Parts: sequence; structure tokens; C-alpha cells
Amino acid sequence: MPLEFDATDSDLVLFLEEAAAQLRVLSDGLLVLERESDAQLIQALFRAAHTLKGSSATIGHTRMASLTHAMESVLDNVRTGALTPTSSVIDSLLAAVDALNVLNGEVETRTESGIEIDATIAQLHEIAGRKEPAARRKHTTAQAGERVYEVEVVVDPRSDWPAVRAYQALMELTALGTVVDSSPSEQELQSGEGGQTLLVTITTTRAAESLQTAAAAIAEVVSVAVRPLAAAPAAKREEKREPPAEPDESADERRRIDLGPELRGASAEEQLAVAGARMARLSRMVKVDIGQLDEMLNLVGELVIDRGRLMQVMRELDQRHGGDASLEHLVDVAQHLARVSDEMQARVMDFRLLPVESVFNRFPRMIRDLARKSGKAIRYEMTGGDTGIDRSVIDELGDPLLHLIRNAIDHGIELPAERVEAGKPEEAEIVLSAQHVESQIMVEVTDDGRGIDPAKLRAAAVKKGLLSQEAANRLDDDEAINLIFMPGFSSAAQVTDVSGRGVGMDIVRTNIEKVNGTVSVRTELGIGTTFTIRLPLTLAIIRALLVRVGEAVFTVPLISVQETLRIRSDTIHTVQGREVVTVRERTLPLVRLADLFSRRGRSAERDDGEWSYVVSVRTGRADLGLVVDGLVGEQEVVIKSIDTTFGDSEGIAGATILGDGSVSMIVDVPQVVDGLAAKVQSELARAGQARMPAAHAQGGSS
Amino acid sequence: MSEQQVREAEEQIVVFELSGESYGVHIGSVQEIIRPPAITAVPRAPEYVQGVINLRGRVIPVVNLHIRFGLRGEAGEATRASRIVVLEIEGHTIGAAVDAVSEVLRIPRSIIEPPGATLDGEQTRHLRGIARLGERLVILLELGHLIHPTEIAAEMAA
Repeated sequence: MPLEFDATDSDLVLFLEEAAAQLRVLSDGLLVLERESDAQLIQALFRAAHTLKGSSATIGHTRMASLTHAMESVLDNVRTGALTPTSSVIDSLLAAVDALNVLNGEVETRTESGIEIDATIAQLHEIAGRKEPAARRKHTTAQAGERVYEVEVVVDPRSDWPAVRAYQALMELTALGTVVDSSPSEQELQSGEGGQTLLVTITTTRAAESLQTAAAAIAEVVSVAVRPLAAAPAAKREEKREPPAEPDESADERRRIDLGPELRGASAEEQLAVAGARMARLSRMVKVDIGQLDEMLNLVGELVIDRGRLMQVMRELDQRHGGDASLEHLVDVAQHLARVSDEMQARVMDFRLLPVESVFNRFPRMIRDLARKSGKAIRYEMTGGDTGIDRSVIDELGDPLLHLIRNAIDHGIELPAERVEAGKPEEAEIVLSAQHVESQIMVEVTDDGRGIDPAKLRAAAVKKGLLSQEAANRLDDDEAINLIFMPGFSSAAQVTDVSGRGVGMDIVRTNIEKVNGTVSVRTELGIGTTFTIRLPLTLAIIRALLVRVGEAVFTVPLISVQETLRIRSDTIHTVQGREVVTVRERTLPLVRLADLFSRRGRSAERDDGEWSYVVSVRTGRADLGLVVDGLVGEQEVVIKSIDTTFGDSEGIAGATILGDGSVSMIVDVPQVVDGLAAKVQSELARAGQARMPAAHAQGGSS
Repeated sequence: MSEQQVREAEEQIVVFELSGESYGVHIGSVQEIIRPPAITAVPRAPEYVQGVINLRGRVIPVVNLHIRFGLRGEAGEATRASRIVVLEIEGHTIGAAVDAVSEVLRIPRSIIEPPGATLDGEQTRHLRGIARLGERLVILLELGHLIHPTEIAAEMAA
């Protein structure tokens, strides 16, 4: 159902900005509050709830206002010490934050979500012990410089929502001072009772005109009467004669932008200054659709390609006509153009960067909930949250991280008793970190749990029939640990609702490799486990190695390249019908790209020179050597998709355009490796001998 | 007949040569005609996909119409006259390699005959019809068949 709010679109934009900030304060703060009670923090939480209440009421989002009001009541009791923030209290408050997020979403989409909040509100009121903060405030006496007014607000009798309007007026007034009493009360108004006439007693430092203006600005309010009741006893006489002058604009400004309660005590000038600065900041920002940025990146990508072509032509010309004066001039211009396009590429990439925090922030809450559910004590830490990462990569990072964290909680971290027995602190730790490493982003998930036991993995692999006992025994510990990335492999003794069925790790790996990333694991028994994800900074441009195969140039993403080797062709051996080469005592299975990519399986003509070039590639599954005819060089390439109308090309991840304008195919390394692994496995299965795929043909040099 | 009616009764076709035969496609589906750049083979692609080319920063497939449509004759060697006709078909941009592009013709619809009348079965499947222009025969291609894989499947099964 479409929703309408009592505010202009730009007001709603401001509201959303403000609300997002307050919701962050609430959700982050509550998690901290559960660990340590801190007066300042509680004050901040209370303020956030209060501000949200005020601003949501202003735009006429009464459900949001009711909910924040209930939260405010609970937090107020926490603030006064009447209530201890136990985990169950935090649970309820977090549930309310969840609901608030949904309600906030309604403002964004202008559609009603249909969320049911009555139970949440009832629960909060129950927690607040049915104490009404207002009841206590009645005893508050006016402070120095404050005056007491009675404000009478009359709502148009034809209004459809007199209670809502009265409530809005009440909220406006609440923001300007301390409401001592109101009739009908806030609660009555929220439940829709009465409201045609609102009578409010308020103590404030503001002038009567401010109150008048604020209340009168609410839609459908027909009259507002402000009557001074009594000055505060401590108030000086001079002040009586000369109430603090306050320009009405400040009240108007408040309505448009909630300045936040921290400024409520500030002078009108200060408030105006802050509001002005905020408006100025907003007006200097431009919202750009992400699609336009993508388009921009594509265009810059073409510029980068042209730059490459230009430089190549320049080199050729230089060789032919070196020393020519106008050519040198051209070289200067071309080089400048190259620098500018480099810079432009860097800037456009920067526009698309978001702090990795935007992914990391999903997890504190999840970790807390899972920890509570599984009876484990877990501390969460995050470092490098401000590391910038391309939007497109962010989208690919969330799910794998989610899975790794779930796994860590479910399988890695021990129960508190177990940890104490092992001499570890009762509270476990999960650390999420991000940093830039060369032209990649490295994200790690570290836990200080029990680690992964290679012996258990070997046994599990044999039990599941994935490996023969003999093959399992042959795996060294690292290889055994990498078994967790095999499809269908899970060492969990039972399926739990935390990490689900054992489909996780191979999917994590597949998804990350799809975007030219890698995932690896380090673990130490009894100490903990670290999963490391490396991703390119962007999905559109990658560093790559260009290799020659016959006439064609193929592109191999550098992220999967371990090293390039020049080997004597006669050191290539055949083991069980497969070519292998021994490099530093390890056997590397080989694939000739020419054979792999020949049309219809025809074996390509072999260029059997004295030397062969091998590109050693690694995926989560195995290592493999790609035999090529030559190495061309390393460069940045822009990934282009290929129209799949005529079918997918197996082993090809896309195309790119080289400096000479020709198209080069990008080798899909994970797919090639997996394809080979599957082939080897089925061949070996036919030979009646199930064993580890590809990587570890020991004794190949015989 | 008013001028309007004349225009409605006519259509413009791009005529190109392929091993001595003239073929025509509706001008609306021709995006441009270019000299063949370097064509990069796509590993494991179907036989009729000659490869891909760089069309101003876009990578588009180039189709061998001989193989795709099972046309008569053999694909000629690349010559100076060789061109790639860049076609826009249902949102896909596809290049078709041809021996030469001869002309753009305005022909009356009335002279388009159904294919069966002149050609035998195997070749008529992808044809819209035949335009008879005096001595010349221009074979009009049904381009939708170029991209629909179901067509190929049916063909293979047949």
C-alpha cells in the first residue's frame, strides 16, 4: 500500500539521512551496552531514540514515533538506573531496532511494509515497568532562565487525524523544552484518543513566539494560544522583562532539519550556523545513479585501451622515425594523455569505492545472535573498516563472509567450558580485517577456536568415499586442510541451523573465484583458523599475463598465476597418460592451452622447441601448469563480456581488447583446473582407483 | 497510388555477395558495414562462429553465414572487397562476414516471392523469400533464425 507522509520529498530525504545515522547509533550502541554499561553511551542511545521519535512524528510516521517512544521509555529507565540492561532487555531493544529499520524503509519506498509492531511496543512498555517518564518529569522544577507556559493547540475539527496532528504539535513542543504535562497525554494521542484540543504545560528557555510558531506550523492546526504560567523561581528579573530574543527562523530551521538534541541548548546563532553548514554540505553533494558510474567506468575503460594502442603506435613510429621533432612533440602529448587517462581511471574507480565497513557492519549483530543461540561467548573485532572497495566487489563479498563467520562460530569456536579447560579465555574472538595489498583487497576472518584437524578431514574424506585411504594418507597437512573446499565436503558432525548443511566452503570458493578472487585457509590446531579472501579492487579491470599460443594471444588473470617457468621440453614426462613436470620436487600436471582450446578437440600442431613455457596457476582446488608457446607480457586489461547467444565457451571467462585493437580471450583458470580435475577423477574412477584430483601425482619424475 | 502508398509498398534492402550469390537483408537490421578487422577465434565455440572482433571497444561475435544457414557454395577467401555486415538482431549485435557489399536497393514488396517457388527444401528454411530483379535473384534472409538456438537444435534433430 502506498504511504503518504506529511512532508515534502526533500524533507523526507533529510529525514532518511538523519534516521540512518540515529539507527546506526542505536544498533551499534546497544551491542556495546550489552558488554559495558556507560553513562555517556546510554545518554547517546536515549538521545538517538528521542531524536528519532521527534523526527518521525514530524513527518507523520506515527508507528515509528510510537515505537521509538517505547524505546525511549526503556532507555530512560536504564539511564536513571531503574533498569539493568540485561541481554533480554537488549534483545527487545534490538528487535525494536529491526522493526525501526523496516519502518524507515517505508519512508524510503513510500510503501507500507505491513510489519506488526504492537507486540514489540507492548514488550518494551512491559520492560519499562509501565513507568511513565512524564510522570516523573512533573516534579521537575523549572531551571534558571526557564519559563513555564501553557500552550493550547486546537486542531481543525474536519481533520481526519486530529490525534496525529495534536501528537505532532506535542512533539514539536517537546523538542523546544520539557513538557511537564499534556492533556491528552502522549500515550492517549498515540492510541488515537482525543486530540482536537491539546493542552500542554511546558518549561522552556524559548520565547512564547517560538512555541507559537512551532505548533502553528503543523498542518490542520487552526489556533495556538501560549500563556505564561509562572517564571522559574531562580529566574532573574531582567530576563523577565527581556526574554531571550530568538529569531523565528531558528524554529523554522528546526522543523526542516532536526538539529539533534545536543544542540538544543545552543544559542540560536549557533543552531543557525550548524543548520546552514549542514544544508551547504548537502547542496554540495550530487547523487549519481550507480548505473551512470558503471557507464563512466566503461568509457574510461575504453580510454585505457586506447591509451595502450596509442603507446604501441608511438613506439612503432619512434623506431621508424626516431629524432623527428614533431614526432617528439606527439610523444609528449601522447604521454600526457596517458597520464590524464590513468588519473581519470583512478578517480572514477574512487567514486565507486565504498568502505568495506558497509559489509562488515552486517555482522556484529549476527555474531551476537548466533553466539547467544549456540551458548558461546564471542567478542567481535573489526579492523580496516574504512578500506575502500569497489561497489561491484562489495556485492560479491557479503555472502562468502557470512558463510565463513557462520562456520567459525559453528565449527571453530568452542563452548566456554571447553575453552577454559584448554586454558583459553572463556570469551572467543572473531576478527574481521581488511587491507589493500598491492592491487587487491585482502579480507581475513580469524577465530581463536579449535582449528581444523587435518587428520579428521582425511578420515572424513575417506568415509565419504571422496578419497581412498591410501590417497588420503599421501596428502600433507595443507592439502588435507584444503579438502574443506571440495564440493559436498563438510566435517561437521551434525547439521546445525547455524552453518547449515555442508555445502558451504566449495560455494564460497566458487563464488570468489568467479570474480577473479582467491580464498585460502591457515589453521593451527587448538589456536585458531584464518580464512583469507583476496579480491581484485574492481571487477572491471584486472592485471593479467598475456601468453601466446600459436598465433593467438590469451589473457591469464594474474591473481591465479603463481609463477612462469621456462623448462626444457625434454623434462616433461607422462604419468598415466598425462603430461607432468617436476618443479622443486613437486609434480605439476600440465595442460597445453593449444590442445585445450583447439576446435573440436583436434590436437593442435605442436611447437616442439627445446624450451617450453609454463604458467603455473593455482586455484583453491589444485595447481596446474598451462603450457604456452610464449610469454607476451603483463598489463592491465578491461574485462568485456562475450555475447552468449552462441553458447558459453568453456574455459573462457570473457574477452579483452589489446593494445593493437585485437581481441584476446581471457582464460577461466578455475574452470580449466576444475575441468581437468573432473576429467582426471573420472579417468581414475574408471581405472577403479578414486583419488585426489589433479594436483598431487606423486612420483611423476620416475 | 499516392506517394505514401508507394513507400509502404517498398522496402530497402542491403545486398551483399556470398560465393557468387546475392543476398539481401532489411536495411533496418544493418547497423553498419565495416572492413574486417583481426578476428579472434573463440575456443570451443560452434563451427559457424568465426570468432569475435573489436567494434569500437565492444566485443561482438562474427558469424559465418555459409555454415550457419547451410548456404550453397563455399566461403570465399578474404579479399579487398570482404566486409563485415554488423547486424542488430533482437538486441544482439552480430557481425556477418560477406564477400562484398554491392548496393542498397529499394524494391517493391510485390516482387518478393516465397522461397519454395525457386529453391529446394534444405536452403529455404532461413529465407524470407526471393526478390526477382530482371535477371538477378536476391535471396532475402530471415535474420531471426541467426540467433535462436532452438532453430539449430531442431535442425540437428531433423
